Amino acid sequence: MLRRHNYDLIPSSEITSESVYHERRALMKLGASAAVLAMASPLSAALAFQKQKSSLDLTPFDLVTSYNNFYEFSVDKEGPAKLSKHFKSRPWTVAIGGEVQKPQTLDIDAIIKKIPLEERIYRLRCVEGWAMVIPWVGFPLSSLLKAAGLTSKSKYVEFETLFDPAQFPGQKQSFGTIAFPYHEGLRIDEAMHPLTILAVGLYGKELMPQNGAPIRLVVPWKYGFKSIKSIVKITLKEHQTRSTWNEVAPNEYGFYANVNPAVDHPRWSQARERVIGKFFKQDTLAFNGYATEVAHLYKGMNLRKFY
Amino acid sequence: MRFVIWFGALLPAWYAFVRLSVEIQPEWMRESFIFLEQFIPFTLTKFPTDPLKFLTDLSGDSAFWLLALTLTFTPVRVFLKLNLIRYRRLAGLFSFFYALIHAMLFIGIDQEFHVGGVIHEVLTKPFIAFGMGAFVIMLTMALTSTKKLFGLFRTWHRMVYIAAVLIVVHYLMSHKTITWDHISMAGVLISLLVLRLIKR
Repeated sequence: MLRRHNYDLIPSSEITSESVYHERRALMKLGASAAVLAMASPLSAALAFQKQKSSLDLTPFDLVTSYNNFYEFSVDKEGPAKLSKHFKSRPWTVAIGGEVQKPQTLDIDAIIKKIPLEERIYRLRCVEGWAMVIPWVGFPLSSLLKAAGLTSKSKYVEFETLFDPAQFPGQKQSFGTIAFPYHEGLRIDEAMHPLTILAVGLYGKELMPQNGAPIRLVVPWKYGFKSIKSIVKITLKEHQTRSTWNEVAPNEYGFYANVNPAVDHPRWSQARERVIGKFFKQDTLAFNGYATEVAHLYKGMNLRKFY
Repeated sequence: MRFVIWFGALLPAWYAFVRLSVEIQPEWMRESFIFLEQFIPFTLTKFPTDPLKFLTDLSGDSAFWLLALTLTFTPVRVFLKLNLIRYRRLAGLFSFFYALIHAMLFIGIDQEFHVGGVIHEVLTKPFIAFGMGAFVIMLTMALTSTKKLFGLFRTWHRMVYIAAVLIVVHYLMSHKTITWDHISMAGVLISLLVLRLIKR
C-alpha cells in the first residue's frame, strides 16, 4: 500500500491498519536520523510494511542517502545525492521476460500495491571495504519470479538498469566509467532465496534516486555492486548472465561476488571493513554474516576460483 | 616564500581539522565556514562520512601535490631563471610529512600495527608495494636531508625519480576506474620529471 501527499484528504488510519500506523510512529521516534529523514525528503512518500526487529546498529539515514556508488549519476560518492534531485522515478515499468511462462510488463505502483511489503534490516558490504546496515522495505524477488512462471530453462536471472542519459548524467560519459546500461545477474537458486529482495524503500519511505529508485535488488550476502539499482528489465536466461563489473575487470570482480573475508581483492584485503559512521574497522563475516542461510548454495564450489 | 610554503602545506592539515571537529566546533566557527563554502569547491561543515578514507585520500593527495611542488624548483630555475632551490627541502619534507601520515594510517589503523599483516599486504598486493616502495625511498631521503648528510647522500636523492614513478602507478591503481582527472594529475608529475630530464 502506497500513499503520496494525501494526508490531508484521507486520515492515515483509514488506509493503514492502526497497528502498522503506530509501528511507523515508533520508527519515526527512533532517533535523530529519523528526524533528518522527515526534513530531507519531504517528497518521498511513506510506505506501509511489516516491521522487523534487529539487533544491528542502523547506519543513519543521512549517511545512507549521501554516500552512494551510482556511476549513472557520478563516479564519486557524494555526486549521486546532488545530481539526482530531478530524477523521475514515475511512470516506471519493469519488464519481465526471457525464459518465463508469462512475459509481462509491470507498473511499479501496481507491484507495490499488489505485493505485501516487509522491512529487511540487512548488512551491506561494498567491495571497496566499507559497510552499512540499512532497513530496506521490499519483497522477496521470488514472489515476482513465481508469478511470471519459471520453466526448466530459467537458470539465471539478468537485471538491467534504466538507460537514459538525460536523467543519468554519468551515462553521457564514455571514458573513466563503466559501460551502460548496467547489468547484473544471479543464479536461479540465489534469486529464489528468501533473503534476496527487491527493495522499493528504506527507513520506511520510498527509495531516493541515489539509492536506486524506484526499485532495486538487495542481495545481502554479496558485495554491493551485485545489488543493481533502478531496474527496468528482468530477463530469465538459460546461461550465465552479464555482470557489468565482472566485464570491466574479471580478475577483480567475480560473477558470484559473495562477501568472503578469506579471498582478497587483488588490490586490497577483504578481511576487515570500515563501518560508515565509525572510525575503526571491524572483521568482515563470511557471506556477510548470512552463512547459515546461504552457505549451502555453494557447497562443493571452490570459492577462491568462483569469487 | 617560506611563509607561502608553510601556509600552503598546512592547509590540508587545517582542512582535516575543520572537517573532523565539525561536531564540537562553536557555532560561530561553523557559520564562518558556511559562508566560505560558496567560494570553494570543498565541503567544510560536514563530518566526513568515511573518515578513514577521507584522511587517507587527503594525506595521499597532499603528499602528491607537495612532491610535485618539490619537483618544480629545478625546472623553474632552469627555464625561468628563478632560483628557489633553498626552499626545496622544506617542500620535500612537507611532502614526506603527509606521506608519513598516509603510511601510518595504513600501518596503524588499517593493519593495526600488525607487522605480519603489513608485510603480507606489501608482498601480495602490487598496489600497496608500489606505495610502500615510494614511502621507504622518501623516508631515507627525509632522514638524509640535513645539511651535513645531504652532501654525502646527494646521488641517493636522485631516487626521487623512482619514487615519483611509483607514486603515479600507486595513484592510478588506487581507483576502480581511471578518469581524466586521475590522468591529468599523473600527467603533471610525469611532465615535471620529463622537464628535468630534458635539462640533463
